[in-house]
Amino acid sequence: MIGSFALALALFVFISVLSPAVSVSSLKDANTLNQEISDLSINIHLKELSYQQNADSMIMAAITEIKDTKVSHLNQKTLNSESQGLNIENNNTKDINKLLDTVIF
Amino acid sequence: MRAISFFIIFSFLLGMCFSLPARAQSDTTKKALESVKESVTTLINIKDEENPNDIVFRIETFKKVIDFSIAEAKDLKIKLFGIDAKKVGTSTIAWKNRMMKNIDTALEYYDSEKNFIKEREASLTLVEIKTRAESFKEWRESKYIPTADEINNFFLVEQQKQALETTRKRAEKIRLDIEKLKWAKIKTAELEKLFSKVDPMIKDAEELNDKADFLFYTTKILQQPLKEEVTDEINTDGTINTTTSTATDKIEKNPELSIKDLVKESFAKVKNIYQIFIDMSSLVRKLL
Repeated sequence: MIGSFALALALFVFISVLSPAVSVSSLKDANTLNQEISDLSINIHLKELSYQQNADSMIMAAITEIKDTKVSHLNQKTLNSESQGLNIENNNTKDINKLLDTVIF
Repeated sequence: MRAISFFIIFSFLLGMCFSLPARAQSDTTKKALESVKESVTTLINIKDEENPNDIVFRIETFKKVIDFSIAEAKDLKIKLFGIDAKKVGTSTIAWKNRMMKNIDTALEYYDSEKNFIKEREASLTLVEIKTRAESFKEWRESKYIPTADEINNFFLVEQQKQALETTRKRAEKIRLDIEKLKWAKIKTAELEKLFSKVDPMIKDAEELNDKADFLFYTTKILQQPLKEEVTDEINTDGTINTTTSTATDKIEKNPELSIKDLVKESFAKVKNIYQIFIDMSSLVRKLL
């Protein structure tokens, strides 16, 4: 019993000494490093500042709309939405053209 | 002008999609901003339809803007409350109190606007709401935004100090790991070559943040002008040109902008340092 324990211990020591396995915890995992930099509070604060800048622009846009009484029909959002509705070259037209081509040629 | 408004709304939506929601923005603030966005869209459509009651929607949008501004100012106040009096000096506490006062003044102004609209809603004319909105915009730009920028700059500088501390600690751990690898007879030449770039980069990042800290502490916390610096230049004919400049001139004319830029530049260096660490990590995996 004691003999087999001593043998196992000797084997463990032999493997530990000769094995090239070195524990380098600080460099082992790139994900940990990525996570470390993402979790820095300044990183979060900079994202927050970007959000605040967007919010400031939104408030300014709202106030501009409240004040503006001149060009109600030139809003780009409305115009874009309308132009999409005017898309003549839609899929149905293309399909009909194909059918007509088949009949003609 | 309306095209610009639309562009801003679109950019805002795009920005929301690609940036993570900020932790310090409370849910109330986020919801309030969503309401502003919805009100603006409705107002644009109502105006396009030439709805004679568009004033109702203008008032509604203005109310939403005020609600958002209140929520935003309260968030900023909570942030200020978070400054630990035990960790900062008396001058910083005095600065914090000044900022608190500014936020309270903003909240009082927003409340008075909210009450005015509530009391006069039924009788408000188009001219009145337009004038009110214009004054609100001017007030926000001249009073609230500078205070918000100043508070945000304080936190930026402090958080970059923490980021640099984390970077230094990580670099020290990596230094020890390189020693371990050397001891294990593993070739570390490439790792050491990469690591040799780290120390000067940390130093540069620290210098940038120190500059930002100095600028903020002097001009905002102590409310003092930066000291003048006299430099002599000897001309080829032996005469001396004496020029006087301040550190502000050297860095930038707008201190708010330069503090933020200095911290951002310092943080960019921290990110580059971490990229080196990540490259070293890949190299270590190949070596072991």
